[in-house]
Amino acid sequence: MADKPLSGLKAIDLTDEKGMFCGKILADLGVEVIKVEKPGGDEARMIPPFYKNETDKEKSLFWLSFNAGKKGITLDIRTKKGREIFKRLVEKADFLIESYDPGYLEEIGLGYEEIAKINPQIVVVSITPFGRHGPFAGLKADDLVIQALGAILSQQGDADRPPVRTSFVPQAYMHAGTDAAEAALIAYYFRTKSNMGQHVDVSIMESVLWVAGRDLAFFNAFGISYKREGSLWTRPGRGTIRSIWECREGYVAFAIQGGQTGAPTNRALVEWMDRKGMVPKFMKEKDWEKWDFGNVTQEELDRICEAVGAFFKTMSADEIEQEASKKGLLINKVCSVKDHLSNPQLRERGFWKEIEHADWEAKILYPGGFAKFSLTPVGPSFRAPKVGEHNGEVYKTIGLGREELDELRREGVI
Amino acid sequence: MNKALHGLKVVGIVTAGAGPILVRNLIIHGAEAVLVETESRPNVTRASGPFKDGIPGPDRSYSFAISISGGLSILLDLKHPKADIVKTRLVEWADVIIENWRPGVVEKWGMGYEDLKKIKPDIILLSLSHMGRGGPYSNMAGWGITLSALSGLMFLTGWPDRPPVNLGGLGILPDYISPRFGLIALLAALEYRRKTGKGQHIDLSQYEAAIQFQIPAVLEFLANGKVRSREGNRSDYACPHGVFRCKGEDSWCAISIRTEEEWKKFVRVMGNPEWAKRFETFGERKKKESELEDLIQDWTKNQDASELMMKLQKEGIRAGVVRDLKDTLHCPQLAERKYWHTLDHPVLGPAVYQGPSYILSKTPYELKRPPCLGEHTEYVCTKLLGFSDEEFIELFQEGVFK
Repeated sequence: MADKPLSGLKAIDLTDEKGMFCGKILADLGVEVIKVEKPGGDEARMIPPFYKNETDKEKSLFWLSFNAGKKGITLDIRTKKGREIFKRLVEKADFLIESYDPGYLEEIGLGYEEIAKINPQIVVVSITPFGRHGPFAGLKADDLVIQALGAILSQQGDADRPPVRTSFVPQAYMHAGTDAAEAALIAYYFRTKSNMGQHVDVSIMESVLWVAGRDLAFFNAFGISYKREGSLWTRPGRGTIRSIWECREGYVAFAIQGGQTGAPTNRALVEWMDRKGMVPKFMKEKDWEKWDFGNVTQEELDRICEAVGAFFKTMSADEIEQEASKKGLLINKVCSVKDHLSNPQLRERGFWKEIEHADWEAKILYPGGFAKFSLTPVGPSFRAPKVGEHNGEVYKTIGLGREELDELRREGVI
Repeated sequence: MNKALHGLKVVGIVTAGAGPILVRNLIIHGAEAVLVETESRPNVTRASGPFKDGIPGPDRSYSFAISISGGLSILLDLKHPKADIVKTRLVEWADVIIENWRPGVVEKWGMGYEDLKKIKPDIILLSLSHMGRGGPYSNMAGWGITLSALSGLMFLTGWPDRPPVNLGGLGILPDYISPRFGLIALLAALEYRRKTGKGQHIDLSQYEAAIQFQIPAVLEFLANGKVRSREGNRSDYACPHGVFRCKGEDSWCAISIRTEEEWKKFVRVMGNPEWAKRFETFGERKKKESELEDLIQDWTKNQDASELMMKLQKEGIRAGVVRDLKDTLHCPQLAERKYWHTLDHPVLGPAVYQGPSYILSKTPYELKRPPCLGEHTEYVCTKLLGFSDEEFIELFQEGVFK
């Protein structure tokens, strides 16, 4: 198999669930990522769901998702011996990724200054809820709390209920994991020019706020902040429309747009509604090229939304999407994970990647690479490691033989 | 001090959404970027409101302003028969080219990967599109809202008894996912080129990028047959895990409890209410979660959200008030990290902009105001691409720079 774009680079990964995605992305690109867990395994291995719902540290689908393609070793860096071994690993690494509470690594003598003494070229990436310094640095937070403070929560949810997060997969950690990988590679690029490593300080809250910051356009224009409005869509001074619609079965997303951008969709939609005898006269007579939010009343928007809503209710989301995609309308079904798996585009592009899980006598499809490179493959190559699976292989590279490993095991260091 | 990407040369043939955002993060770390626009078709985001004083105009869009930082805007009619010499010089100058038009469009302009490779064999081209190249839906059109629906993230956002809701980032959240992956991909391709001398074409589908944010949901469906849906704010491994009403209008505090120890502390902070005895274990709390949430809200609803947050934080309990964007502008943490910037602009005047989500210890970033349409055409041609003043004027008179 051809080399991946970053084959030959090495990373040490000390992260918990807040930071695991960063190393996963680097591994997809070919970096040899060594996940270092405490003896017995990461606590995040107990995050559900589990394969076949069997609670077991080798079966957390959450943990497996974000550690695919990494090698795994155990090491207790709280012990003196553990730290010595850790320093030898770091000597050969290009990246060190960590997500401990700010100050913890300094406390045990593995802060950036210490690491840089051993390996001045290394890029150390710290991923923390609010950044390593400042008045929030000591606060306790997880995905939900970070999204609350990072303003994105205020933009999601029905107006008559609490603000709401995206369920199940902690999105704050996804945003921060990609930002961390981006920052790591920017710092690495600099190293290739300067021979200098450095310390990257990622704030998960800022990763979330970057997205919520789309609202800055409106803040700068009007001095106000956007308020969640469920499946409606308001732009200051331009009225409210619906953007998510209930169908006979399922939901579709469609936000009417004005002028040249919206005209082709609006015209085609009216024709389609007309064929079913469901279009009000005023919509049929409209010059959609000239129609714009600047010259429309809320009453007219409501009448349009009412007619479109009634029309969508007569069909399932699947039917609407099929027809819409034939006609080139900007309407999409609100898709679930099941829809991804049956999506012909993903299949045709060879997106899914089969990964073997020999212990379970199973092959499972994983999402493949985040991009297709014309020369170099990208994406997960093998399943996440079992606890300490690569101890022998990895420790051999720093000259530790079987006897030494046995001793370290007895001492509880690995 | 040095900037991290100093010396990196980028040409962006970018239109709406994700394209400018991707270029932005390269520029603020030191890359030099030329944005190619045409008078008849400037960057679509320039035509998106809100506008300064409500009057449309390519340099009046606040949406465009926040999508880009710095960058050199040139007007170039890529379809003009005499544009070839300018295109060639641009490609020769560039390390990487970024485009986010529908598949097939840049090819029509003679700027497809095969064309570029002929001019510069080791060029790196990043094509960012809705669905990726090849495949039956390659040409499917869409934008932030429809991509949010397609992505699977919208399906997971909202309440179990209600329709899904718009995603954050004003409904176009996936436009903030793919630029990050695009930037990562570009830097990886640059490293590969450094080692091997080979450029390549990166084909990034915004849809595939968004699926990377839901890997556990994919594995759970394939391994256990479960299709995840909207669960409000609840979690499989924390309880309570919710957003609770506080005193004042639309005031909320998020609280998340994972361990038994945290629960005990939380009960203590609440003043050891009698009812807490019925919720001692995670299993009990999960079984009667609605009742538990109501009881907690009875306690929170008359408290000030910020005071409540600090009271809980003091005991080591994860809690945070729900802030809107305006609230975060006065955040002491963000002030400490110098996150917000006010920049002046000849048309927009002063406006607020965000820094990146990370600080690099040795290479500071720099934000600059967004470029006006075509502001740098002459500079780019005469200073970067080596055209003489006479050559520039001749091309100008031919109508190439429109």
